[in-house]
Amino acid sequence: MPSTINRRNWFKQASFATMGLGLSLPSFANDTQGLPTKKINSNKGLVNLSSNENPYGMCPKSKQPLLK
Amino acid sequence: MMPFANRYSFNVDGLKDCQATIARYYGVEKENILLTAGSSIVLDFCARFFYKTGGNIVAADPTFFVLPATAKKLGLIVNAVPIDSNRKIDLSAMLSTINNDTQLVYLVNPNNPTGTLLKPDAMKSFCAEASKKSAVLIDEAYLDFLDAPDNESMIPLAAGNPNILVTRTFSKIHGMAGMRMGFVISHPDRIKQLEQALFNESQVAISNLTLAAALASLQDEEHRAYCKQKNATSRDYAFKSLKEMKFDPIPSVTNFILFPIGNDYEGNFADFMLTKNIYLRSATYFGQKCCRVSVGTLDEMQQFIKVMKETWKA
Repeated sequence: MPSTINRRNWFKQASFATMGLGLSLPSFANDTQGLPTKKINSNKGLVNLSSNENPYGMCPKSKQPLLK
Repeated sequence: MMPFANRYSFNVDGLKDCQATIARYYGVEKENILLTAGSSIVLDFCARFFYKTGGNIVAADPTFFVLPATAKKLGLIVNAVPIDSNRKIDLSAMLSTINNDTQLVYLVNPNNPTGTLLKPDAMKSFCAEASKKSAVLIDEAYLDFLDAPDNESMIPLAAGNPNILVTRTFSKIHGMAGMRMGFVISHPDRIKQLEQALFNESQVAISNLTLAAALASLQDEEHRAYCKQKNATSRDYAFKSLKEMKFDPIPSVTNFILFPIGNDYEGNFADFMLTKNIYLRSATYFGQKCCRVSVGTLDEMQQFIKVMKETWKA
């Protein structure tokens, strides 16, 4: 469990950390970048906010030709 | 469309000319477009296509991982250009990083994971300048979330210049991530080269189901406007709530938000959130531990914010 964040310390550390810009390239790692290290057993009840998907689905008109 | 499962799309009424239909929707010709199963495959493929021993690519840091990751894997040098203090891609730094060995410049606009936008005029000047020295690929996966005039595409520039390529996807505003539909637009000479290296009949590489759904989706502007408006409402709620909690989220024009969680956060934030049934990403960007949360429905964002408030009791 994470502890309560100390704001002052957070900003101090954050600005210090920017000095390290460009040294590591985490964003170029791979498709599991930043995802939880633990596997999900089921999507049931899961709020999936991981992959920039559209939660509203494709348009109803797109579904029609598929069912003809 | 299932009755035509045994037919190639070029033998199905309503699908035979769909490559031209999709091209024309974006104001270009059939010869300007290569259809692909989503746009990530084009990004991966372009790293391979433009590969040259001793070559390099130029990309912002951070940006979407696929193209730089493939380039790196192949042995290309990835010249990563840090984003600026406003968390935007630094176009002048990108330009000055291009050298004689640069094979490809990759620019995602709006950028992922930052959610920030570069304005059309700046993009046009950048494309004109950079394309004199190298091929330039503009990834417009999230551009559909914007309104005019900010949603102006670089497609018209790409259509007339073999050194400019634009990728688009149906995975975002069209809600078709699982259907796999995307494309790349460039000058016919460049498209011909890509076809020769990848697949000559790109329309045939996409299933009839997906083509039919994509055509219908292009005609349904109303649904896209609905998704855009719903996304904006959920995003604004999450952004405001994070601000109220004294986080500093980067203003986003997309369907995701990036915000630092504090470098004194111990442990893996994505792992922790998963224990609360919230599935998201956390990683270190620009030296700061960050969370990238996609914008879901308002109900989903309320669940996310509820867990955040329970976790960060100020």
